[in-house]
Amino acid sequence: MEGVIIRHWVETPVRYQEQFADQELDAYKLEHSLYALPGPSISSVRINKHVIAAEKSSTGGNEQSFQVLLDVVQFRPEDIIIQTFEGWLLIKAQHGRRMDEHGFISRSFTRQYKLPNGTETKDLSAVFCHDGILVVEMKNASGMN
Amino acid sequence: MAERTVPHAYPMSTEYEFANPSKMYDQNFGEGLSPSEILAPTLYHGYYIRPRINKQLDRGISEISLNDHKFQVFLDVCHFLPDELAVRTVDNLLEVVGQHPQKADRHGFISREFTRTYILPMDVDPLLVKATLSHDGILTIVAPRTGKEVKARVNEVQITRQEQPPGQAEHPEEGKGNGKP
Repeated sequence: MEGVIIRHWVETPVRYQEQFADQELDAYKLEHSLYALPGPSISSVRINKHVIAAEKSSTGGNEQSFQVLLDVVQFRPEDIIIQTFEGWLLIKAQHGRRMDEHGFISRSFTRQYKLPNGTETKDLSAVFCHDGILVVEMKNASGMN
Repeated sequence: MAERTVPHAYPMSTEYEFANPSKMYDQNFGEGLSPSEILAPTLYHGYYIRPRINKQLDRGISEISLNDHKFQVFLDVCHFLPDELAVRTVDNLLEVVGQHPQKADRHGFISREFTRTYILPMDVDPLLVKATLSHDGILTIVAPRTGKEVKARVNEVQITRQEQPPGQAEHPEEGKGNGKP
Protein backbone atom coordinates (compact mmCIF):
# COMPACT_ATOMS: atom_id res chain seq x y z
CA MET A 1 0.00 0.00 0.00
CA GLU A 2 2.98 2.31 0.16
CA GLY A 3 2.95 5.05 -2.38
CA VAL A 4 -0.72 5.69 -1.91
CA ILE A 5 -1.27 9.16 -0.58
CA ILE A 6 -4.74 10.39 0.06
CA ARG A 7 -5.09 14.05 0.69
CA HIS A 8 -8.05 16.22 1.20
CA TRP A 9 -8.65 17.92 -2.08
CA VAL A 10 -8.32 21.41 -0.70
CA GLU A 11 -4.70 20.66 0.03
CA THR A 12 -4.02 19.36 -3.43
CA PRO A 13 -1.44 21.61 -5.02
CA VAL A 14 -2.43 23.58 -8.04
CA ARG A 15 -1.52 21.86 -11.24
CA TYR A 16 0.74 23.80 -13.57
CA GLN A 17 1.43 26.29 -10.86
CA GLU A 18 4.47 27.54 -12.73
CA GLN A 19 2.32 28.49 -15.65
CA PHE A 20 0.26 30.77 -13.50
CA ALA A 21 3.12 31.94 -11.32
CA ASP A 22 3.92 35.05 -13.25
CA GLN A 23 0.34 36.20 -12.62
CA GLU A 24 -0.44 37.19 -16.15
CA LEU A 25 -3.60 35.29 -15.71
CA ASP A 26 -5.33 36.95 -18.62
CA ALA A 27 -2.85 35.35 -20.96
CA TYR A 28 -3.77 31.86 -19.84
CA LYS A 29 -7.53 32.03 -19.93
CA LEU A 30 -7.72 30.37 -23.32
CA GLU A 31 -5.14 27.67 -22.60
CA HIS A 32 -7.83 25.11 -22.08
CA SER A 33 -5.37 22.28 -21.55
CA LEU A 34 -4.29 23.87 -18.28
CA TYR A 35 -7.78 23.28 -16.94
CA ALA A 36 -8.35 19.87 -18.44
CA LEU A 37 -9.62 17.15 -16.18
CA PRO A 38 -7.12 14.36 -15.71
CA GLY A 39 -7.81 11.62 -18.17
CA PRO A 40 -6.16 9.25 -20.61
CA SER A 41 -6.39 11.65 -23.50
CA ILE A 42 -4.31 14.35 -21.86
CA SER A 43 -1.54 12.32 -20.25
CA SER A 44 1.04 14.82 -21.38
CA VAL A 45 -0.13 18.35 -21.68
CA ARG A 46 1.83 20.44 -24.06
CA ILE A 47 1.83 24.06 -23.21
CA ASN A 48 2.36 26.25 -26.20
CA LYS A 49 4.36 29.29 -25.33
CA HIS A 50 2.68 31.58 -27.76
CA VAL A 51 -0.67 32.65 -26.51
CA ILE A 52 -3.62 31.89 -28.69
CA ALA A 53 -4.75 35.44 -28.52
CA ALA A 54 -5.67 35.66 -32.15
CA GLU A 55 -8.14 32.85 -31.83
CA LYS A 56 -11.16 33.08 -34.03
CA SER A 57 -14.47 33.54 -32.38
CA SER A 58 -16.11 30.25 -31.64
CA THR A 59 -16.94 28.26 -34.76
CA GLY A 60 -14.58 30.49 -36.67
CA GLY A 61 -15.29 30.66 -40.38
CA ASN A 62 -11.73 29.79 -41.35
CA GLU A 63 -11.49 26.26 -42.70
CA GLN A 64 -8.34 25.47 -40.75
CA SER A 65 -9.64 26.46 -37.35
CA PHE A 66 -12.80 25.12 -35.87
CA GLN A 67 -13.42 25.55 -32.22
CA VAL A 68 -16.52 25.19 -30.13
CA LEU A 69 -16.79 26.19 -26.50
CA LEU A 70 -19.68 25.00 -24.42
CA ASP A 71 -20.56 25.64 -20.82
CA VAL A 72 -21.35 22.26 -19.28
CA VAL A 73 -20.83 23.00 -15.59
CA GLN A 74 -23.90 20.94 -14.71
CA PHE A 75 -22.63 17.76 -16.37
CA ARG A 76 -19.92 15.21 -15.72
CA PRO A 77 -17.54 13.94 -18.37
CA GLU A 78 -19.35 10.61 -18.54
CA ASP A 79 -22.64 12.39 -19.24
CA ILE A 80 -21.41 13.78 -22.53
CA ILE A 81 -21.34 12.16 -25.96
CA ILE A 82 -19.67 13.83 -28.91
CA GLN A 83 -20.52 12.53 -32.39
CA THR A 84 -20.12 13.59 -35.95
CA PHE A 85 -22.84 12.86 -38.44
CA GLU A 86 -22.82 13.84 -42.09
CA GLY A 87 -20.84 17.00 -41.61
CA TRP A 88 -22.49 17.96 -38.36
CA LEU A 89 -21.00 17.87 -34.90
CA LEU A 90 -23.44 16.63 -32.28
CA ILE A 91 -22.82 17.20 -28.61
CA LYS A 92 -25.27 15.38 -26.42
CA ALA A 93 -25.27 15.75 -22.68
CA GLN A 94 -27.64 14.00 -20.37
CA HIS A 95 -27.72 13.31 -16.70
CA GLY A 96 -30.35 11.37 -14.88
CA ARG A 97 -32.12 12.40 -11.72
CA ARG A 98 -29.65 13.60 -9.16
CA MET A 99 -30.00 15.42 -5.93
CA ASP A 100 -28.99 19.00 -5.42
CA GLU A 101 -29.64 21.68 -2.84
CA HIS A 102 -33.23 22.26 -3.94
CA GLY A 103 -34.44 18.76 -4.63
CA PHE A 104 -33.89 16.63 -7.69
CA ILE A 105 -32.89 17.56 -11.20
CA SER A 106 -32.34 15.83 -14.50
CA ARG A 107 -31.24 17.57 -17.65
CA SER A 108 -30.37 16.82 -21.21
CA PHE A 109 -29.51 18.83 -24.27
CA THR A 110 -28.30 18.25 -27.79
CA ARG A 111 -26.30 20.84 -29.63
CA GLN A 112 -25.46 20.76 -33.33
CA TYR A 113 -22.74 22.58 -35.18
CA LYS A 114 -21.94 22.51 -38.88
CA LEU A 115 -18.42 21.21 -39.40
CA PRO A 116 -16.14 22.65 -42.08
CA ASN A 117 -16.21 20.61 -45.27
CA GLY A 118 -14.22 17.40 -45.17
CA THR A 119 -13.77 17.31 -41.42
CA GLU A 120 -13.84 13.82 -39.93
CA THR A 121 -14.07 12.53 -36.41
CA LYS A 122 -10.35 11.84 -36.27
CA ASP A 123 -9.58 15.49 -36.94
CA LEU A 124 -11.32 16.62 -33.81
CA SER A 125 -10.20 16.66 -30.21
CA ALA A 126 -12.19 17.43 -27.12
CA VAL A 127 -11.09 18.73 -23.73
CA PHE A 128 -13.28 18.79 -20.67
CA CYS A 129 -12.06 21.41 -18.23
CA HIS A 130 -12.58 21.23 -14.52
CA ASP A 131 -14.30 24.59 -14.52
CA GLY A 132 -17.03 23.23 -16.73
CA ILE A 133 -15.96 24.31 -20.19
CA LEU A 134 -16.03 21.76 -22.97
CA VAL A 135 -13.74 22.53 -25.89
CA VAL A 136 -14.04 20.72 -29.22
CA GLU A 137 -11.51 21.78 -31.82
CA MET A 138 -9.53 20.70 -34.83
CA LYS A 139 -6.46 18.71 -33.93
CA ASN A 140 -4.17 20.57 -36.26
CA ALA A 141 -5.07 23.84 -34.62
CA SER A 142 -2.30 25.69 -32.84
CA GLY A 143 -0.25 23.64 -30.44
CA MET A 144 -0.76 20.15 -31.76
CA ASN A 145 0.94 20.46 -35.16
CA MET B 1 -15.36 8.30 -11.08
CA ALA B 2 -18.44 8.87 -9.03
CA GLU B 3 -16.83 11.25 -6.60
CA ARG B 4 -15.46 14.39 -8.08
CA THR B 5 -12.16 15.45 -6.61
CA VAL B 6 -11.88 18.64 -8.59
CA PRO B 7 -14.37 21.41 -7.94
CA HIS B 8 -16.56 21.37 -10.94
CA ALA B 9 -18.95 24.22 -10.51
CA TYR B 10 -18.01 27.47 -8.93
CA PRO B 11 -20.07 29.35 -6.43
CA MET B 12 -21.52 32.74 -7.14
CA SER B 13 -21.85 33.65 -3.48
CA THR B 14 -20.48 32.62 -0.14
CA GLU B 15 -23.95 31.41 0.72
CA TYR B 16 -23.44 28.58 -1.72
CA GLU B 17 -20.84 27.18 0.58
CA PHE B 18 -23.46 26.33 3.16
CA ALA B 19 -25.65 23.32 3.02
CA ASN B 20 -29.00 24.77 1.97
CA PRO B 21 -28.69 27.96 0.00
CA SER B 22 -32.04 29.53 -0.73
CA LYS B 23 -30.70 30.62 -4.11
CA MET B 24 -28.74 28.55 -6.61
CA TYR B 25 -27.17 29.70 -9.81
CA ASP B 26 -26.08 27.96 -13.01
CA GLN B 27 -29.51 26.57 -13.80
CA ASN B 28 -29.35 27.57 -17.44
CA PHE B 29 -27.56 24.79 -19.23
CA GLY B 30 -26.23 23.94 -22.65
CA GLU B 31 -25.01 27.46 -23.24
CA GLY B 32 -22.43 28.25 -25.88
CA LEU B 33 -19.43 30.37 -25.04
CA SER B 34 -17.16 32.52 -27.06
CA PRO B 35 -13.57 33.06 -25.96
CA SER B 36 -14.23 36.69 -25.18
CA GLU B 37 -16.78 35.68 -22.56
CA ILE B 38 -14.19 33.88 -20.46
CA LEU B 39 -12.63 36.03 -17.78
CA ALA B 40 -9.18 35.81 -16.25
CA PRO B 41 -8.67 32.80 -13.98
CA THR B 42 -9.20 33.12 -10.27
CA LEU B 43 -8.15 30.75 -7.55
CA TYR B 44 -10.90 28.75 -5.95
CA HIS B 45 -10.16 26.03 -3.40
CA GLY B 46 -6.70 25.56 -4.80
CA TYR B 47 -7.75 25.40 -8.44
CA TYR B 48 -7.80 28.03 -11.06
CA ILE B 49 -11.23 28.46 -12.57
CA ARG B 50 -12.41 30.89 -15.17
CA PRO B 51 -15.50 32.93 -14.42
CA ARG B 52 -17.82 33.69 -17.31
CA ILE B 53 -19.36 36.95 -18.35
CA ASN B 54 -22.68 35.41 -19.24
CA LYS B 55 -23.41 34.38 -15.67
CA GLN B 56 -24.93 37.62 -14.56
CA LEU B 57 -25.94 37.38 -10.98
CA ASP B 58 -29.65 37.26 -11.46
CA ARG B 59 -29.98 34.80 -14.33
CA GLY B 60 -30.06 31.07 -14.19
CA ILE B 61 -31.38 31.02 -10.66
CA SER B 62 -33.47 28.68 -8.65
CA GLU B 63 -34.68 30.27 -5.46
CA ILE B 64 -36.85 28.97 -2.66
CA SER B 65 -38.34 31.51 -0.31
CA LEU B 66 -40.16 30.19 2.69
CA ASN B 67 -42.03 32.16 5.29
CA ASP B 68 -44.85 31.44 7.70
CA HIS B 69 -47.61 32.09 5.19
CA LYS B 70 -46.34 30.93 1.84
CA PHE B 71 -43.93 28.75 -0.02
CA GLN B 72 -42.49 30.40 -3.09
CA VAL B 73 -40.15 29.21 -5.79
CA PHE B 74 -38.46 31.23 -8.52
CA LEU B 75 -36.90 29.36 -11.40
CA ASP B 76 -35.25 30.81 -14.47
CA VAL B 77 -36.71 29.08 -17.52
CA CYS B 78 -35.85 31.74 -20.07
CA HIS B 79 -34.89 29.16 -22.72
CA PHE B 80 -38.39 27.73 -22.79
CA LEU B 81 -41.64 29.03 -24.21
CA PRO B 82 -44.74 28.97 -21.99
CA ASP B 83 -46.22 25.96 -23.78
CA GLU B 84 -42.96 24.03 -23.43
CA LEU B 85 -43.24 24.04 -19.66
CA ALA B 86 -45.33 21.95 -17.33
CA VAL B 87 -45.75 22.21 -13.57
CA ARG B 88 -47.38 19.47 -11.56
CA THR B 89 -47.43 18.05 -8.09
CA VAL B 90 -47.04 14.41 -7.22
CA ASP B 91 -47.89 13.91 -3.56
CA ASN B 92 -45.69 16.49 -1.88
CA LEU B 93 -43.28 16.81 -4.78
CA LEU B 94 -43.47 19.78 -7.09
CA GLU B 95 -42.21 18.96 -10.57
CA VAL B 96 -41.25 21.49 -13.21
CA VAL B 97 -40.67 19.98 -16.64
CA GLY B 98 -39.33 21.90 -19.59
CA GLN B 99 -38.65 20.58 -23.05
CA HIS B 100 -38.01 22.45 -26.23
CA PRO B 101 -37.37 21.03 -29.69
CA GLN B 102 -34.40 21.99 -31.76
CA LYS B 103 -34.09 25.70 -32.31
CA ALA B 104 -31.40 28.09 -33.40
CA ASP B 105 -29.60 30.40 -31.04
CA ARG B 106 -26.52 32.52 -31.56
CA HIS B 107 -24.17 29.53 -31.27
CA GLY B 108 -25.99 26.94 -33.34
CA PHE B 109 -28.87 24.55 -32.94
CA ILE B 110 -29.95 23.22 -29.60
CA SER B 111 -32.70 21.18 -27.99
CA ARG B 112 -33.10 20.98 -24.23
CA GLU B 113 -35.00 19.11 -21.60
CA PHE B 114 -35.03 19.22 -17.82
CA THR B 115 -37.06 18.03 -14.86
CA ARG B 116 -36.67 19.78 -11.56
CA THR B 117 -38.36 18.50 -8.43
CA TYR B 118 -38.89 20.55 -5.32
CA ILE B 119 -40.15 19.10 -2.08
CA LEU B 120 -43.17 20.91 -0.67
CA PRO B 121 -43.25 21.54 3.07
CA MET B 122 -45.63 19.31 4.99
CA ASP B 123 -48.23 22.01 5.62
CA VAL B 124 -48.66 23.02 1.98
CA ASP B 125 -51.72 21.75 0.15
CA PRO B 126 -50.53 20.60 -3.29
CA LEU B 127 -53.88 21.56 -4.81
CA LEU B 128 -53.38 25.24 -3.99
CA VAL B 129 -50.14 25.63 -5.94
CA LYS B 130 -50.19 28.47 -8.46
CA ALA B 131 -47.61 29.15 -11.17
CA THR B 132 -46.89 32.38 -13.04
CA LEU B 133 -44.44 32.98 -15.87
CA SER B 134 -43.06 36.50 -16.12
CA HIS B 135 -42.19 38.18 -19.40
CA ASP B 136 -38.46 37.74 -18.82
CA GLY B 137 -38.73 34.02 -18.26
CA ILE B 138 -38.83 33.63 -14.49
CA LEU B 139 -41.31 31.02 -13.36
CA THR B 140 -42.87 31.84 -10.00
CA ILE B 141 -44.67 29.13 -8.07
CA VAL B 142 -46.58 30.07 -4.95
CA ALA B 143 -48.53 28.01 -2.45
CA PRO B 144 -50.03 29.10 0.88
CA ARG B 145 -48.90 27.48 4.07
CA THR B 146 -51.41 26.71 6.73
CA GLY B 147 -48.81 27.16 9.42
CA LYS B 148 -50.31 24.27 11.34
CA GLU B 149 -47.89 21.85 12.79
CA VAL B 150 -48.41 18.57 11.13
CA LYS B 151 -48.92 16.17 14.00
CA ALA B 152 -46.73 13.16 13.76
CA ARG B 153 -48.89 10.07 14.07
CA VAL B 154 -47.26 7.88 16.64
CA ASN B 155 -48.20 4.27 16.94
CA GLU B 156 -46.51 2.16 19.53
CA VAL B 157 -45.99 -1.35 18.25
CA GLN B 158 -46.27 -4.10 20.79
CA ILE B 159 -43.41 -6.53 20.85
CA THR B 160 -44.60 -10.10 21.24
CA ARG B 161 -42.16 -12.31 23.01
CA GLN B 162 -41.71 -15.85 21.88
CA GLU B 163 -41.20 -18.40 24.61
CA GLN B 164 -38.53 -20.99 24.12
CA PRO B 165 -39.95 -24.39 23.28
CA PRO B 166 -39.52 -26.52 26.44
CA GLY B 167 -38.10 -29.59 24.63
CA GLN B 168 -34.97 -27.87 23.31
CA ALA B 169 -34.01 -26.19 26.57
CA GLU B 170 -31.07 -28.56 27.25
CA HIS B 171 -28.78 -27.91 24.30
CA PRO B 172 -29.72 -24.79 22.40
CA GLU B 173 -26.09 -24.18 21.36
CA GLU B 174 -25.67 -27.40 19.44
CA GLY B 175 -28.68 -26.75 17.32
CA LYS B 176 -27.09 -23.72 15.68
CA GLY B 177 -23.44 -24.59 15.87
CA ASN B 178 -22.10 -21.61 13.90
CA GLY B 179 -23.65 -19.06 16.12
CA LYS B 180 -21.14 -19.20 18.96
CA PRO B 181 -17.53 -20.27 19.17
